[in-house]
Amino acid sequence: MHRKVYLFIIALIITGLFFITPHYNQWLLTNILEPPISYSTQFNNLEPEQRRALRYGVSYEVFKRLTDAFGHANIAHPVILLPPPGYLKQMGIVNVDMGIPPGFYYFTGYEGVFASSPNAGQAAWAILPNKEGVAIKRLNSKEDLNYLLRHYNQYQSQQ
Amino acid sequence: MNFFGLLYLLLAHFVCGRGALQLFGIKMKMLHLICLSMMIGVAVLSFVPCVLQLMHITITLFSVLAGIAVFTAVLSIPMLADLKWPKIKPATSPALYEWPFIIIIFFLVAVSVWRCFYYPPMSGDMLTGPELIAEYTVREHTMINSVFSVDLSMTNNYFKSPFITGSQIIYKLLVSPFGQLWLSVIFVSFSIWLYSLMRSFLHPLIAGFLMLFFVTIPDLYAYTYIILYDYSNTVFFFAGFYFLYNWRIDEGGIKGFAFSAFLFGIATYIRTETLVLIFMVTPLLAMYLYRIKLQLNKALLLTGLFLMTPVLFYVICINVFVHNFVPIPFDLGSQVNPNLGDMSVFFTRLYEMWSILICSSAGIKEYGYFIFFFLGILIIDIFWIRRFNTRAIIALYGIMVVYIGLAFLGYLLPPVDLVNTTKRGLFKALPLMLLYLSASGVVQRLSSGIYQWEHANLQEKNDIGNTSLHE
Repeated sequence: MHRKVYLFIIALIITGLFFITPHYNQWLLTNILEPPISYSTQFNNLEPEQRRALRYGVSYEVFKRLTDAFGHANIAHPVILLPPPGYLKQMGIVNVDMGIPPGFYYFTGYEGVFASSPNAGQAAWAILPNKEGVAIKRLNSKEDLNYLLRHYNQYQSQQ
Repeated sequence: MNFFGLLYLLLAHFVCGRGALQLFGIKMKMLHLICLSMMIGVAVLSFVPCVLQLMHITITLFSVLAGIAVFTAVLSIPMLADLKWPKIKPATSPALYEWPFIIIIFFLVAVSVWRCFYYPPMSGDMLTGPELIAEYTVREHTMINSVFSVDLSMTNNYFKSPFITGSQIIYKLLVSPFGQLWLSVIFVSFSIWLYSLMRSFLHPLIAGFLMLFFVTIPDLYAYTYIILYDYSNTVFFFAGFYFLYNWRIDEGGIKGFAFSAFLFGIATYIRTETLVLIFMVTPLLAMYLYRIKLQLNKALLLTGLFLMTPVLFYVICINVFVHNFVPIPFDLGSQVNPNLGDMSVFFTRLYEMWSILICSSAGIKEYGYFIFFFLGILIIDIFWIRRFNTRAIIALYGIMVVYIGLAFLGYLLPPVDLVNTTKRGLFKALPLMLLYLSASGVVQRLSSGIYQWEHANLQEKNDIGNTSLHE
């Protein structure tokens, strides 16, 4: 029996040494024991919407505001022109990621298009950067749309 | 979370998987049987929404429940036909020195399961493909839904296997709004099975350490709660290799062999590129069939069966499901490298896999020191032990297939990039490395040394007892 106890002590030493190794130590601390979203935050936010907000961050809040706005206005099938990521970055907006049209559809249920998308000409709304972050604007005329398409296409071609 | 839904699914996974195992006449330890049944059951039930869609049946909670019930009932027939009261042996509790490893592994598994449940799907590949389709299938009751009216020109993720789409639909309808827990079923079952296998080959102290080393591979661990194809694909690819090895050792009938082909088939269904790797296994099979001097026609038949099973799964995935569910033409030809004469791409990829993915700080961040540990042991085996058993050879062959096969895929299909697809594709080599370590000469010596030392006292007492008896 005492040899089993020695082996138990060896097992403890091995696991201890394993997690003292710098790489595994850091992994255990930052990924498992103290993850970016702490366990207490997780247990205090158990509703699916809260979990989505925690995981997807600021972008998800933007998406939610957009969907709420369209829901209240009772607009059935808006096609929304999305800003190219390069343009958002240049405007200093780094914490909002619009993703690509299918991702935008996943989060909002609305059809987003890039300036290079085949049906970009159908866009009646556009997401534009402003001082607070981004805002959604109705496109009042074909000229407004064409101007934005030309402007956004410059950034799209840079990607 | 709907616990009854989860229980229903767990039961259905077990019965479906058990039925499939029965069809192949596979016999094994009860623990292994349960684990493999659960893993296979997840793959089998992912077909349910696809079959409903093919039959033009609206995908609702009721139809999915009924579909699962029908699948389960049909697959329970082989099990019921040979129903025997299981011989339950008294469970042996793990030895004292296994507990430190078991407790840590259990903790890591629990964290993974929690994250799988808690977080919504995150991967961009999922949100613009299978998860997106699954979410709108649940809302619109059809897999051919409004997703395909959106501009999809910047992604090809909707062309991927319906394995995740099907599993997500089922788990979203029956368990929780984010689905995903099917991945935990695979992860938990695979971990238990693998640990039990390692324990059967090595002293539990070494088995526990190696298993801890394996579970803590950072990137592999991350994909036990981030849904993507690679973890599941790795599990079934490894299982295919393991049962191919098992069949070789047993030299039994065709059933074990067919089961291995079936597992490779599931791996192909999950990630269709796996077909290329499975074709690369053929020389190993051919060498074995030649060595046992099997008649040529029988050898050809077996090789044909081995290759045609994954091909069949490929056809089901691409020509039946993708062809029928994705209203956009799939042109494989457009994805193939137009300049196949330039082999430098292949060799560059081989080199980059080593220099960028493995032997770099990024590599250590992704795979930890596991690959270096494996290489260290391999080098000791080559220069000191200089003997390799069948399990070691098969594992090494599998690792080579993954490494060269992924480089070949990168050369053949430019969308197979280095830092995403290839990096995750290398997961397939990791459990094979673990299998190799279990067969390594130096590890085996260490293992038997610990066994002898542990039981030396007992042996001495036995020797004394025997001597007295004889006297």
